[in-house]
Amino acid sequence: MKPTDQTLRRLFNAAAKAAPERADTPPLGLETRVLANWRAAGTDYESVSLFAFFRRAMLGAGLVLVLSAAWCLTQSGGNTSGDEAALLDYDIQMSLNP
Amino acid sequence: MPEPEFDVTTCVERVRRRDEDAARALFRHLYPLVARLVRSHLPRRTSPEDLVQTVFMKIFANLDSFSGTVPLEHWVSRIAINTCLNQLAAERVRPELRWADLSEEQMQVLESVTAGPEELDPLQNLASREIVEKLLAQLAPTDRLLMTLLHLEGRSVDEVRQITGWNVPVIKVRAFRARRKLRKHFETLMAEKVGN
Repeated sequence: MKPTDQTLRRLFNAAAKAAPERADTPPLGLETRVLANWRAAGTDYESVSLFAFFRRAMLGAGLVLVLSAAWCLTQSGGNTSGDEAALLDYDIQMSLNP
Repeated sequence: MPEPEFDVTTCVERVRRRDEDAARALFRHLYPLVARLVRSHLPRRTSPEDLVQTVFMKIFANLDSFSGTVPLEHWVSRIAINTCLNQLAAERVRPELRWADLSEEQMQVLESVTAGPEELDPLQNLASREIVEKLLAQLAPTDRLLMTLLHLEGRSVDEVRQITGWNVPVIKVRAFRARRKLRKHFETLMAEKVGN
């Protein structure tokens, strides 16, 4: 081991033996602040949950809308000529009956 | 009569059910550990109390994700250390240690430790710690953390792995490089002393 390494090892050994600061009791007010934050976070969490629920509900509704529209399109795709014929018939009827 | 052992699992479950007494008990149980970790890895310009508060906010915010597969103390240690590391990284500027910055007692400690192979006088332990902390403050946050965990707190590589989440080869390589940098800073400091 290099001399510097030996020196550093002795230094660290001594440093490690230095009595660590005891911190069993939190400073005044710290516990109160931590618990206050915890309480506030809980309230926020409930609001966020409700918001998330409504957001999911909207997304679900939107998905149903899109699927319905897609289904309607696929259904009306085969009947295009039938719709056009109905429209023409309507026009004729309207022109004959002012 | 010995104090009953703290039931972590039950307490955590009660905190998840928004039991304030359980939250208070958990805070008091974890406070010594968090405070010690923050003081060991404290960034220069940050108040320890502020950082302890930040750590506890993160603990409570993420308590739902604690699965119990590792001891709570390891999970909490990781949060505390990562919080300190982030703050250390934000500071960026690291103070350069000059011989003139040392107190008389610290200078004597360095002269003693370089004079011979004997271990230092126990009365010099505190001054040694101060010097070591000044040397460590010159390292990057992860290097400082590793040196503190391995050589000041005497933790094993496996313990460091559990606390930091780094794998063993990464720990060993980083520790090797950190020791090399530390050696260089120490040699620079001692060279300055010789120059004086």
